[in-house]
Amino acid sequence: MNKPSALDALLRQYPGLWRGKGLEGAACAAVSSGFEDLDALLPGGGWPLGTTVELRIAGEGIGELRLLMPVMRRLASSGRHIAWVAPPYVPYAPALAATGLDPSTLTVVRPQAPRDILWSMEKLLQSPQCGVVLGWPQQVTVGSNRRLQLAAEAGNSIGFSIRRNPCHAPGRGTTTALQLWRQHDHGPLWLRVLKMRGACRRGELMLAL
Amino acid sequence: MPLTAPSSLNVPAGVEPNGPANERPQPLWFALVFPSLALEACGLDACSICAVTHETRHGQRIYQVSAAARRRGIEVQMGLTAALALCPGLVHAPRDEASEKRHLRSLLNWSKGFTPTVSQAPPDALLLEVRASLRLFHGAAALHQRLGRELERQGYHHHIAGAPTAQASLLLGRSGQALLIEQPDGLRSALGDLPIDRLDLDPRLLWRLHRTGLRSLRDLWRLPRDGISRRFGHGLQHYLDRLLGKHPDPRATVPRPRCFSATQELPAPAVDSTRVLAAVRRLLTQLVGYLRQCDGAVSSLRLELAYTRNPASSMTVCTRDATRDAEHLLRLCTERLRSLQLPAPVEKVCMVCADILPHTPPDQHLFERAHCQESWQQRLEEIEARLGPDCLWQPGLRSDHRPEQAWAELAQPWSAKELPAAKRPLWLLARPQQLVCRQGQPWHRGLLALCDGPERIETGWWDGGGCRRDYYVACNEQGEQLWVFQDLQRCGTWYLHGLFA
Amino acid sequence: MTGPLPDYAELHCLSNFSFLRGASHPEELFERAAALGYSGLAITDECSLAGVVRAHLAAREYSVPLIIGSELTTADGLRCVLLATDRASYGGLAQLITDARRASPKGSYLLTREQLAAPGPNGCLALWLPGAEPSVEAADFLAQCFPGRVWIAVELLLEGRDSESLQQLKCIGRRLGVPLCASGDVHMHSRGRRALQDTLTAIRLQRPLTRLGRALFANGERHLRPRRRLACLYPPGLLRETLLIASQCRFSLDQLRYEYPAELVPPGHSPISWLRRLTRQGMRQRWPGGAPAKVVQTVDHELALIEELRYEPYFLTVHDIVRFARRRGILCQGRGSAANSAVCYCLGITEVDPARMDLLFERFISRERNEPPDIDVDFEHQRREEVIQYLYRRYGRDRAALAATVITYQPRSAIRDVGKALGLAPDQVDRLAKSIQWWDVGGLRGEVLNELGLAPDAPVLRQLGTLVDTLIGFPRHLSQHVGGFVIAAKPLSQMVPIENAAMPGRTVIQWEKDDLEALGLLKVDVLGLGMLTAIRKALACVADYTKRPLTMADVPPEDPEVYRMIQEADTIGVFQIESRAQMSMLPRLRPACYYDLVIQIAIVRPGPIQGEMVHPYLRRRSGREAVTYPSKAIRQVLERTLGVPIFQEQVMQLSIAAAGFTPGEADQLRRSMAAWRRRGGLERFEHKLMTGMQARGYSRRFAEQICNQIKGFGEYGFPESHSASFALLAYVSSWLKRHHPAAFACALLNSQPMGFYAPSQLVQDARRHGVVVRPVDVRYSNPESSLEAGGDMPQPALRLGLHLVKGLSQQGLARLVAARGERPFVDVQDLGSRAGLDAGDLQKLAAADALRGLAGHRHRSFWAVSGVEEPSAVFPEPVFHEAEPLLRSPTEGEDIVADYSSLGLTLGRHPLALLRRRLQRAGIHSAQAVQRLRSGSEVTAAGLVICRQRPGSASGVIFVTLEDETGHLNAVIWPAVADSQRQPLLHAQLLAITGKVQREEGVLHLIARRLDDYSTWLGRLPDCSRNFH
Repeated sequence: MNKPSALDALLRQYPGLWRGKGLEGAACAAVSSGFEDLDALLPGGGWPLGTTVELRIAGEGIGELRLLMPVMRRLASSGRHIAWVAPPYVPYAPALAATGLDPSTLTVVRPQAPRDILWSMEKLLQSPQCGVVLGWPQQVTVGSNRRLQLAAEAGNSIGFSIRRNPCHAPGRGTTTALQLWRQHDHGPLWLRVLKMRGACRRGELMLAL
Repeated sequence: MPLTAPSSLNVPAGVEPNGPANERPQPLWFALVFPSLALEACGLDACSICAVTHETRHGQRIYQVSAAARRRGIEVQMGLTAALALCPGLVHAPRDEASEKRHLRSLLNWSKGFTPTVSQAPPDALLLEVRASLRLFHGAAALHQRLGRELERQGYHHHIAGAPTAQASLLLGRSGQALLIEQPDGLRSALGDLPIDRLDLDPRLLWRLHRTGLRSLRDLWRLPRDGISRRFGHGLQHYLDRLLGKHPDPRATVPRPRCFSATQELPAPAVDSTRVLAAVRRLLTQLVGYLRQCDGAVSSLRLELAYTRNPASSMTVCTRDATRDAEHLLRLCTERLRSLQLPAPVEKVCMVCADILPHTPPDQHLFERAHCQESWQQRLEEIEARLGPDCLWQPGLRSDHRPEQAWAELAQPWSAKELPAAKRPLWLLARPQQLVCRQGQPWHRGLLALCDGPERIETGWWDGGGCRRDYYVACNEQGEQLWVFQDLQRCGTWYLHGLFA
Repeated sequence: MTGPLPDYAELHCLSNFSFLRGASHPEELFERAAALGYSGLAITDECSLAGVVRAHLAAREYSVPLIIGSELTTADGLRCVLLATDRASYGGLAQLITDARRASPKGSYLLTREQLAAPGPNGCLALWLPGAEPSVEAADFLAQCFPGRVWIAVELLLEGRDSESLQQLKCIGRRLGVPLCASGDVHMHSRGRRALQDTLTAIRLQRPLTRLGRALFANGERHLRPRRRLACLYPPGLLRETLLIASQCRFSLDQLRYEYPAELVPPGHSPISWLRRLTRQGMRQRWPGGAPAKVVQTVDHELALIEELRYEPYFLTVHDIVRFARRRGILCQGRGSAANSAVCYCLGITEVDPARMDLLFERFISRERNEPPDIDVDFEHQRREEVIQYLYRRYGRDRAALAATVITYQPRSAIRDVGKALGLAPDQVDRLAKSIQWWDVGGLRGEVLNELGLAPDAPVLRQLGTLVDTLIGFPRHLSQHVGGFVIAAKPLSQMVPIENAAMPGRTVIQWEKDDLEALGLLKVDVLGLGMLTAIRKALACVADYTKRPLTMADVPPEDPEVYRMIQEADTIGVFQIESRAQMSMLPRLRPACYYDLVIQIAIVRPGPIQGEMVHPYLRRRSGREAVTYPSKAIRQVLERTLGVPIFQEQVMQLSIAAAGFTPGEADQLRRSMAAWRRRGGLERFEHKLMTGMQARGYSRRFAEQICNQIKGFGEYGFPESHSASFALLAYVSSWLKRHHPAAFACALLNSQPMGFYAPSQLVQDARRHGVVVRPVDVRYSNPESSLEAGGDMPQPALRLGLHLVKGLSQQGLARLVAARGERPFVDVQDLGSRAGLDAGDLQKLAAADALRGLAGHRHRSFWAVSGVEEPSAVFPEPVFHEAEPLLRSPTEGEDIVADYSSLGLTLGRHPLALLRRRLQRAGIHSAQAVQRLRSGSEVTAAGLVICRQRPGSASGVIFVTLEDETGHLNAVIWPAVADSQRQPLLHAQLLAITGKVQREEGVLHLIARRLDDYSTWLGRLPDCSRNFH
């Protein structure tokens, strides 16, 4: 405690470290995405805490979970909970465990009504114990995006909205939007940054998953 | 089951002074024993062939059986597999202790209509001290009958026994003897022939008593007191004394279970739920104050809304653990009220907590962590309160080769070495999806190319879920990585079972 | 894939001798390997060579070369297979297994890397089993230990990482310069055994299948796979490599040569000259006046044969053991095949005078097959351990070891284990297992399940049935043979691995008797016989109260009173002729001399019964049938048994005399006879017998009859030599029973467990013979039962010993006797504090009613015992003044129940005496009343079931003996009745039988028609019946 630099180092090492309410407004920390090229694109060198990200995928199973496993693993290992809201399939525990994520840190929510999906995501994002919320909302509006963003800020957590939507235009109200696709069959997985708050660069990159 | 209205809604019953009067004669205890409570609590028809199981060190065992099942040879403590082999049609359910407690609690509430002095004798009985109520109910026999009738109507199997001591009434009731002994003089002769096996004694002590030629209570009474104490322990002598009322039964001094009930009238009938909430908030403040005072906590509370024209409605709010956190309770009530359509303007709100539990403060050492956990739990409860009880789950691992059996909807202890060595997909289809074949190859949004495999899984023959499958990692033209298998039992049909996401 | 199939030899294959891992018999593996055209098959059981002899025989039969090896895992997890290439490396492997096994308790082993690296095993070839996470370091270590002789075993089993791990292993191989080969980690001969393999895993891990999860194999690929399939999975080079390895493994068990220990011959003597000298010495002692010429001639013939076959050391070995026992005063007696020689009689190994018997020496020494002789020596069962320890001492643990017995799954054990694995409840498994009786051939049939209230079509029960059927006969673990010792000139562990037995101080080799026989290795049977113990104790008792020394030799021969008793079937407790079947035959055969006893013992056996020899013999003996012989040669063989072949020896002699067999062939015939039920192989002899006899002019009918009799003998055939030795003991024990019933009963009680009857029956029998039996009493009883002489009683009284009190601790018993020796006990408190007995021991004594003399009846005893306080330093003798308790005395019924449960017997009335009035009202007769009825009357009788027995004959009759207060009643239950009324038959303790009285030659039977279970009448009477199978 006597050396602030040590604390900084600690925070850099464990971005999920719970920092108490006093530090809430501090410059947003980021968690490495686990992919060097991607980290280079992202502001702060990783997924920023306290924000929401919209992930547009060409199809389910394209690689979206593998993209997000490292960030979830990191935050889970620092003691924060992970929540998935309305996933389209069964999150398969043996595979989760094989990636290094303790399945017991993961809570899955299955709301019935579409509005409950957003509501649950919001509630979970607000909780400081929750590190990452992955949601599969069916419809989003500017308002709902805004509310999710506020919730993430309140909880200092990261929210990912995953939508199957090949449309290129970023949703309004979102701070960050990414797109995942493959160029052609069996081709590599591509990621494109559609929109990003506070980032100077946009770009495309090939992910090695 | 309809809940009879408590006699006074506005006075917290816990503080009602109703102590034993000095001139009160010998007490009279009624034991209400529910021999099929575990079955009934699981919603099983105790007249059918059914059983309730519980988890023991030796696996699932029978906890309680219906008479019809007992006739089929099924006994308590038998393994479930064993019971099913005896009687494949046996209807069974795991024991639901929480539900048993709820039933017992609601029976306790109901029985308060007869006497204020009621206590639980878990897991299956209630003890009522009824002397003061006898006049009201036209004597012990009439009360005995009436209790029986009402329990019958509620559909509970029961034995009701009355005796001057709590211990004796419980003993008679659990022995299935629906006797009514009003005077202490009658106690000895009524109990004398009861076999000592019925007493709630350590089996080893029972064995020794048997070996000394003691079969019935009468045999025990014949022995010198000091001799009994020296040989079989003071506990036994105390037990015998309590039975006959020679020694006060601590049960009689057990404080009556407390409950809370309070009502708030709204300033004006309101259809707006925020105004109802304001009333709820005030009620909660009262409740928490009361809880602090008696160091209690609640795990459920009931809200009753009275409307201008419509009949009253009620809702129950439950927490995972007993709590007296007003904020948390308010959040839960808010969620419940939000999902409610008010049919008419609300006139007043009533809050009832039938069962007040002892408050257990969080462990000091783990305070920080417990605090975090608590608020996370509270957050989940909020979600549960809105979305319903089955909306939350955690993926857990099960040790099984069959992919669909290798996970469970509950976190279970697991270790890394139990993990399959081979590749597993992050998404599993809840049910394998049959694939069509084109050009002799499986097809799913494009022809599938098999990149890795086969991994052969053939196991599970013992539980009817036997499988023989060759699994492959496959890719289609969309670039999706899929987990497919060929079912070797079903003419090589192809199925999609997972996505590598 | 088409094209020629690649050749392949499987190098990593476990048989079911890797207990609870391998799921196929060695024979099944070889049969399948032959069908698949494998070029070789290695049997590599885990740290064991227990199955290799059976594999060796199977390999010969199916013409697939056997490679001997073993799968081993070191303490730090390195796994490999070692394969023997020649005699030396085989010896090294056996030694390595011995070392690993001896370092660990029975059933497990402990192998270190140092042991692997030692020079012993390094002649072997090593296959490294890399496992899921290959460690290069381990591979490197093996490559250092086995330079140029190590391979990486690539086992592609479709577990999801095949291609990945093949690449990885190729890498490691290239790096270390170690070649790769294919192998299959075979656990079963075909995929169909998968369910059984899973079940075995469940049994091994003691968890039901439902809770095993990933502890099971994911699939059934671990079987002998067709070569076409292997060709699809493996690169061709890896398959070729297996042939290269197989070609280097040239060792066969045929190369083992056995050498006898040589140290028994003193310097200056050759083995034969020493044996000759000992024989002559013995002959002079046996016949002080000179041996008959026939004996001298036999001895010379035998010695010549022994010398020719060089079996002298064997006879010297047995002689040495017997001499040791004699010196220690341990009763012993030789018997069995080789024992019936004049040489053995002279050497004191047997007591059967060759002059009285027509002995056939070739029975045990065979020129043709060069198989070793076989002598069994019985010792007192309580002192056999002394003999065994002597052998270990004399030859050293590396040269002497017990043969193993492979314990195999029987229907009951199979049901128990499979039932548990499938998740049935213990009590249910128990009932299932118990309901499978020894006479159930059909296995778990529907009606059996119905009776138990189980649904026969429940899937779990169908699986149970199938699995149990396959599992029966599977080896389960190695146990020690009852007494088969192998003694060798050189360390045994170079020939066969030695491991620890369950008993401390015991070691066993991994082969069983049949294996030793198949390889022609020598074995001496050092057996324990309870009757020898009882006889010695009875003789000592008699000598004690008659004040005259008494030995077996002092027992007067051919006492007519003894034979009279035997003829009346009054033989409870007597050796051999006490069984239910024997007793029913005694009044018909009416043995009147020693040789009659020899026949009696041999004839009431499944063999003669199945061969239908009993009735012809009875008819001929009673003179109802003429004794005829088809020829003079046959007359010579069969004259002593009235023309009916009864002994194994006679069958051999017949084959020689009537069908022209050589003695060696006759011996082979005997061996095949013993095994034909299991293995077949009697056909060629049958043919030879038929043609041989017909060529010598015997009728086809006669020849067929002889063949049938031979088959009937089967494995149950009894040699005359055994019978002759047993008859001696039967006579001595009968003499003791007749003249000293108290001493005899006392000795039997002190030699338990033995014989057919429980202490309860023995005591009742003694009381029927006028012996006064006194109860267990802490004031008088010794640790063992004893005789109390005194007064003018003709017989001393029998005082039951404290050893009968169930659960009494040995230490407590010893302290009690010591404290009583100082001064008598005054009361229970005195007993408790001076003998330092704990509450448990005191309660046991009270339960046995042994405190009656100090405290009164049982209830008072318990009251007194509960009040005993442990003395402290301050208050050494606590004194309490208490009011007298009002305790009712136990009823007679309660006392009887308590007697049975604590002592296993009662001196009170028989439980049925208490029920008699009730039984009478139910129209049930006593055993005595039934005895008075005419043959053919219908009657109902009831009694405690003391014996249920089914002689191993094909007719399937079950004998039940009922006991009531008036005596015993024997009932015959035909299979139809048994099948339809299984429940009462199996489970009743008090059984009522309704049926017809049948009286035949003085023997009375009740032929059952209806059975009723009256057990509930007994109240809480514990199980006092015994089943004999």
